[in-house]
Amino acid sequence: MHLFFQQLINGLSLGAIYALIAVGYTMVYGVLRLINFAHGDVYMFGAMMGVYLLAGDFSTYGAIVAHPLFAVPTALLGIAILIALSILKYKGISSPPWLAWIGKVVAAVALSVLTMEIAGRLIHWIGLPSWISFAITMLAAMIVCGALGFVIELMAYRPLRNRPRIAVLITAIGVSMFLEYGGQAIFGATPKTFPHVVPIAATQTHVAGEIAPNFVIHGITIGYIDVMIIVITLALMVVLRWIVMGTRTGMALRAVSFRFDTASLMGINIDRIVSITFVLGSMLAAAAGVLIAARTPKVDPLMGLMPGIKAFVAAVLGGIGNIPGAVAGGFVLGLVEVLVQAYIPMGSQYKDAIAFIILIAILLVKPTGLFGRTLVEKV
Amino acid sequence: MGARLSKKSEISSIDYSSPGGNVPPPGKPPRSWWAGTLAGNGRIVAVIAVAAWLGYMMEGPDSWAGAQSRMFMLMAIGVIMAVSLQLINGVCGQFSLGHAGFMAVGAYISGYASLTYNALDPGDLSTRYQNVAQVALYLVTLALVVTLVGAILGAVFLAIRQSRHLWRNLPPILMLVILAWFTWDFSAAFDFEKAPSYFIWTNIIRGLGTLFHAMLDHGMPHARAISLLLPVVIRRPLCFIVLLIGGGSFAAAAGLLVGLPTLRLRGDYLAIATLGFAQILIVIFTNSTPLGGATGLSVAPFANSANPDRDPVAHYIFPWIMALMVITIVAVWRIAYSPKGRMIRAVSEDEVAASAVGISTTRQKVTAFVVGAFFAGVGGTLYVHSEGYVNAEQSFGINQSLLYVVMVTLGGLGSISGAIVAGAILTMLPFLFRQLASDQQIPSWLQNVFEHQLALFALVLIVMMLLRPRGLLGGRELWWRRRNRNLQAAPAAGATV
Repeated sequence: MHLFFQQLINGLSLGAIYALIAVGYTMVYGVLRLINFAHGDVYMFGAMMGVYLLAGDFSTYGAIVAHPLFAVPTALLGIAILIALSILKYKGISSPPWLAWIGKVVAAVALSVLTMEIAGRLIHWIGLPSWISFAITMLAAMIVCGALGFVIELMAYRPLRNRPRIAVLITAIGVSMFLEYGGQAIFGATPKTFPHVVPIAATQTHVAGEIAPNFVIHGITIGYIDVMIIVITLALMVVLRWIVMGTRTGMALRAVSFRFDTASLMGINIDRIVSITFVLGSMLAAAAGVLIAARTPKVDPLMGLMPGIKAFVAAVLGGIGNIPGAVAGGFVLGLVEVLVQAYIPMGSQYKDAIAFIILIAILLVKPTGLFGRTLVEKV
Repeated sequence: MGARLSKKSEISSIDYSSPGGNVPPPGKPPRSWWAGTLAGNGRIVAVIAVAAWLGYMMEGPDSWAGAQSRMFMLMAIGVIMAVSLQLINGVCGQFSLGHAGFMAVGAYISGYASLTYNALDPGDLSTRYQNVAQVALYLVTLALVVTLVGAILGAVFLAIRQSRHLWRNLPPILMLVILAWFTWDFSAAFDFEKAPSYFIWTNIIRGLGTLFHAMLDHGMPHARAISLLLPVVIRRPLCFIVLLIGGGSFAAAAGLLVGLPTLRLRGDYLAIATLGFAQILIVIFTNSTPLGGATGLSVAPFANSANPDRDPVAHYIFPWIMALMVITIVAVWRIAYSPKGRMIRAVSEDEVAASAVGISTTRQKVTAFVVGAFFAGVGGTLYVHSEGYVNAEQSFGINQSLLYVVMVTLGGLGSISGAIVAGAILTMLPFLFRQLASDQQIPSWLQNVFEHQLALFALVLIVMMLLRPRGLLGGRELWWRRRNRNLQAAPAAGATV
C-alpha cells in the first residue's frame, strides 16, 4: 500500500505532463483534423528555452539571438510592423497578404526575442527569489513557444489548408524533423542539465549533498516538484476551461471544431481561431516542457518524440477532439505507465510499449475513446 | 480515379502493362502454370536478370568508395520499402504508419537465423552461408511454434467472441479477465524456478519453448548432413533465398496479425494503431536478449564487394538487392494493375460503395497489408545482410516508419513510379548532403550548413510538400500523359487522412 501511494503520486505528476501535451493535440485535431506531429517538439523547445533562461549560457547561435544588438532592432521592427498593420486595419485599408504574412512572422520572432531578453535580464541581473525566476522562466517559455506554434501554423500548415489532409500530415512530420534536427544543430545533440538555481527544481533524490525539499506524510515522500506539477496543471486547465467555455473566442473555437465550414459562414474568422488554437496548445506544451525539465533535469533535442506520441495516445484514449477527455486520458496513461513499471516484472523495460498496448486495446474495444462521440457515416 | 475509370475509352487508351504482361490469345489450350508464367513473363525475367547483372557490374575494382556502394544499396532497399508501402497506403488507401516494424521483423528473424545457423562449421569462416538446411529447419520450426501459439490464442479469442451470444457485454469482460489472468500468471510465476501446474499460461509458454528446442536439437545434425549433400555452388544462393523467404513470410505473418484487428479502423485511428504496433515490436526486439537487446544484432554480412581481394569468403549482395528491387516493383505493379488491384483501388476510393458492389473490403485490405508486409520483410532481410548490423531503435524506429510514409506521399499516393523516384531521392539526399559537407570546393559556411543533413532534409521535405501537395506525380505514373488536370486531381483527394 505504501509503495502504491508513492507510485500514485509519481503517476499523477507524469500524467499531468501527458495531459498538458495531449490537450494541445486534441485541440488542433478538433479544429483541423490534423495530427500535429510537431507538437512534441514544441514541448522540447519549451524545456530548452527554460534551460537557456535559467542557465543563462547561450551557445554560438543563441548568443546572436540574445545579443542586444540583434534583439533590440528586431523587437523594434516587429513592434513597428505590428503598429503599422493595426493602423492599416483601423483605417480600413487592406494591406497586401504577403506584407501581413511577413509582418506576422517578424512580429512573432520579435516578441519571442524580446521576451527572452527581458526574462533573462530579470532573472540574472536583479537576483529575484528563485520561485519568482522559475515562474518568469515558465511564462517566458510559454510565450516563446506560443509564438513558435503561431509561426509553424502560419508557414507550414496554412498554405495547405484546402489540400488533402495527408499533405498537411507529411508537412507536420517535416516540421517535427526540422525542429528535432535543427534543434540538434543549434542546441547541440548532448543532453543539457536543467540548473539547480531553483531549489524547487530538485527531485526526490539527494542533489549535490543537500536533501531535496520534500513533504513526507506517513512515510510517503511527495516532492515539491510533483505537487507543483499537479497544481500548475490543474490551474492551467481551469484557465483553459475559462477561455474555451467562458469567452467569445472560446465559443468561436468550439463552433469551428463543431463544423468548420458552417462556422466561417457565421462570420467567424477561421484563420484567427486556428492560430489561437495553435498558440494555446503550444503554450501548454511549453509549460509541460519546463515542468518536466525541472523534474527530470535532462533536456535534449530528441526528448519530445516519445512524450509527444504518448500524449497523442492519451488524446485518443480520451476521445480525440475532446479537451476534458484528453486531460483524463493523460492522467490515466501516466498512472498506468507508472503502476505497470512498479508492479509487473520487467515492466520498466516495456514501459514504452504500455501506452501503445492501451491504445490498441481502446481502439479495438471503443474506437471513439472514453468520452468520444460516435460518428455515424452517412452515405 | 473513379472519374477516369468511368470512361471506357480511356481504359483502353492507357497502357497498364508496363513490363511483360502477355496474355495468351484466346482459343489456344491453356499451358501449365509454370510454363505460362515463364513464357508470359519472359521480359520480366529478363529485366530481373539484367538488373542483377548490372548490380554485379556496378562494383568497380577500386573506383568505388564503400560509401557510394552503400548508398546505392540503401537506395534500392528504400525503393523496395517505398513501393511495398505504396501498395498499402496508395493503392489500398489504408494509412499505415508502421512499415519499419515489418521490416524489423524480417531483419531480426532472418538475421538471427543466419547469425546462428548459417555456417557449416562455426569455426571455419569459409563455410559461411552454406548451411541451407539448418537455416531452413530453424525458420520452419519457428513458424510451426508461432502457428501453434497463434492457434491457441485464436481459439481463446474465438471462444470469447462467441460468448456474445450469451450476453452482449460478456466479451469485453472476458477479455479483461483473461488479460488480468495472463498478467497475474506471468508476474507470479516469475518467482518460481519451476512453476506449479496451476500457472497454465506460463507452463504453456515454457512447454512450447521446450518443444521448440527439442525439435531443433533433434533436427540440426540431420539438417547439416542434408546441407553437405547439396552442391557447393548452389549452397549460398539457396541459403540466401531461404533467408529472404523466411524473413518475408514472418513479416507477412506479422502483417496479418496486425492487419486483422486494426483494419476495421479508419484514417487517423488506423495510422496511430499501426504506429503503436510497430512501436510494440520495436520495444520487444530491444528487450530480447537473444536478438542482441539494446545493443543490436550483428550479423556476418554478405560482402559489399565482389572483389575477392577484399573479402574472399562472403557472397556479393549487390545483385541480390537489385534483382529483388525489380521483383518487388514488378510484383506490386502486377497486383496494382490487375483485376484484383482494381478491387483494392475500389476500397481506397470508397469503402461503402465497394462493399455495396460485392467486394469483400476486409479481404482486399488484408491482402494489400500482407503483401506489403512481405516485401517489407524482404527489405529488412536485405538490410541486415548488407549492413551487417541492426539496432531496433535506430534502424526501425518511428522516424524510419515516418520516412517511408513520406516517400510514398511525396512520390504521389497510388503512383508506383512516384514511390520509386521518391524512395531513391530521399535515401540519397542525406548522403549527398554529407558529401557536400566534406567537399573542399564549396565555401566553408556552406559546408557548415550541409553538416546538418537531417535538418536540411526536413526543410526540403516541407518545401516540396508546400510546392506539390499531391506529391511529385500526384497519382499518375511517370509516363502517363497529363490529359485532364481536373480528372487527374481527383484521386489524391479520395485518400484517407
